Amino acid sequence: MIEKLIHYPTIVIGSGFGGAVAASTLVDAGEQVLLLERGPWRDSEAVREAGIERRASLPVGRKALTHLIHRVSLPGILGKGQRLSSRGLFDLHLDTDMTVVCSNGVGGGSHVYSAMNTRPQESDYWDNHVDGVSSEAMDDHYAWMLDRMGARVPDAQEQIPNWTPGAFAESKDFVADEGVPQPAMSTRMAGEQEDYCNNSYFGSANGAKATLDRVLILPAMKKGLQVAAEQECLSLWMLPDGGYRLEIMDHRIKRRRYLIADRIILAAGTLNTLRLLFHSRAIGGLKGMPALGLGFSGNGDSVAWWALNEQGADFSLGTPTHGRFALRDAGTGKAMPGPYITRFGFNGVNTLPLPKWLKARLRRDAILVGMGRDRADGVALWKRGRLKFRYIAQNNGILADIQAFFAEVARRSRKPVRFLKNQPLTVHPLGGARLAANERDGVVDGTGQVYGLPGLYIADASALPASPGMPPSMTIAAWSRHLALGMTANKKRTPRPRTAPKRSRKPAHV
Amino acid sequence: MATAEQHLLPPSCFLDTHRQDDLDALFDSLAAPTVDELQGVYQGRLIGITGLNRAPAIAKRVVYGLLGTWINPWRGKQFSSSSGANRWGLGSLTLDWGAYQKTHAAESSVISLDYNVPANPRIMRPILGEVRPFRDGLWLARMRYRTRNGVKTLLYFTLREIDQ
Repeated sequence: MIEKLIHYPTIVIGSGFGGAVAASTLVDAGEQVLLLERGPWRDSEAVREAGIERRASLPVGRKALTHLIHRVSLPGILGKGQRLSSRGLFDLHLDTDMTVVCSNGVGGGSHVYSAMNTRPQESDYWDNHVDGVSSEAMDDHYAWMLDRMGARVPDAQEQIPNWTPGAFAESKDFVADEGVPQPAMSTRMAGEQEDYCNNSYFGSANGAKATLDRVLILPAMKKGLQVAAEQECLSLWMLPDGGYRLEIMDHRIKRRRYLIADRIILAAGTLNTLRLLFHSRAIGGLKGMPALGLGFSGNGDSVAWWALNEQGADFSLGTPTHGRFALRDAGTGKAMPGPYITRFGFNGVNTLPLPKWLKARLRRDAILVGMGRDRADGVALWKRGRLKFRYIAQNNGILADIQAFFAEVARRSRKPVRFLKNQPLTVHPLGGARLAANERDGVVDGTGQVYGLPGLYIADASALPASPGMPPSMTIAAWSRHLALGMTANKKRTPRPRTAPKRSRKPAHV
Repeated sequence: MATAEQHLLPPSCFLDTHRQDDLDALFDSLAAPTVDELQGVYQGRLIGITGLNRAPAIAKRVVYGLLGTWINPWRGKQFSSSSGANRWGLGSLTLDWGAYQKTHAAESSVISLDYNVPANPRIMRPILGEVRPFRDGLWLARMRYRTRNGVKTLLYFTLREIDQ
């Protein structure tokens, strides 16, 4: 799949919402792009049909034992991270202030996200950060991505199992009517029962959920995009004559190799982008970035287990999320203002190797996920080769608001709602290499380029200037689209003279 | 006092866990030297020794770490305009031994260190060193041995500029 050259004009690192959008946008503009992804292709219908032979199963059946966890980092002895399985789907980064979960594989977070395609909570999210970036200008990018994903708000008539507007239509305690706008979702809602199960955070093997491998990456490959799976970038080195050297671990053959690129778009996901930037700076490959680590946020994520144990219910069915809901005001019957709360089932539990009685019990329980705009005042640090997060939960009132909501849900439903009170957990880490007007406050400028490091761009959630307070996938995609279109526009205006140093053009190990 | 540029140099142990084929790939990716800037004394550090390829990373770190201490008498190299020698030492005593001719042909992608000089014992004469700049102040080099069956790489080493 990978061409036997060590020099590329543009290399994109990571294939999630940032990397896939940037790569496909550049390829559409006729650029030559190599997309590196540390994880494998996932065994989904679209990937099989494309003829990609080396695929890793989603964590289903017994494969859950070997394909669930990719890498674990603990605060103590495993602080640098231990890779458990090259084919694992999730990374777990347990830290004292914040636990972070992220994914691994071609298509990135799209395999494990809940297909909620939303814009930020605040309509002026992009305004007043830097010149050249505005909410109005970003609008087209959101629209482009929503269109690509085929996202739409489900219709109440579609009889989707467990869909909150239907589930809470008669409830005196909870409400999901038109006063609680539902997220657009990129999932098949044609009424086929097999599309309403096993389609959420353990992936969607039958393609019911739109994932980036199917929507953007495979079509871009037909236009010339080169994709190198199981190739992890370990460090970046700025070259004196321009461009960068990339140290790559080829996990297929367990060997390092080196590539050279004129431009790099870093979109490895917040956790890995920060790790790569900090490490590269520590070993002398990159310089500067005085604000690296500032503005880290968990997007207000809070997760709870709603132990409903409702006889006859099967909450594992439905769309990847059941939808939003709110508390019903007893006086007016309308939704009370509050945080963004969605309900989930233990989607995919049927495929896990668990005792039958436990599966049956989990199907009768639900999960609550809250999000909200936190202050993005956390700090990511690099200590002795370890990525650490400092995040003071008490400073971010949104977490207390969501926990108060959970407590009220428990009171009204008379069923336990269990959550970790003092241990924030996020699946939407963002910031740390944020957009800002100068290098004292942030890492990237309005074009997405890192201050002081020409040709290095950041296209994932680590560049976001603030917490969107909603699922951030469309916001990452819009930022990445903005960045990639800017790169192609700049190239048209000022063709860059190539003054590459005399370099070896020997074939790289493949 | 270290300069700002020296702060950008990688830690001396940063290549310790690389296997020899990793270092081959790295060496191939380095730009060819445009001018021969190797002049003066350079501190050396051994890495990528044949035979240690399959050793666990932690074992390589320990071995190369020990070889970077006083127990290894090889200190590095010294260069003049067209020749040089290895620098050996114990405490404050130093000795230059193991001479080579330094050549940098315009069309060549490396600076060559040819040990085929009369001052060397016969067994050392097939040794050929190759050096490329890694970044300002740091060079990556390899020691190769010419045999009837071709040229074999024995080990890699880094050369770091030191203030005199």
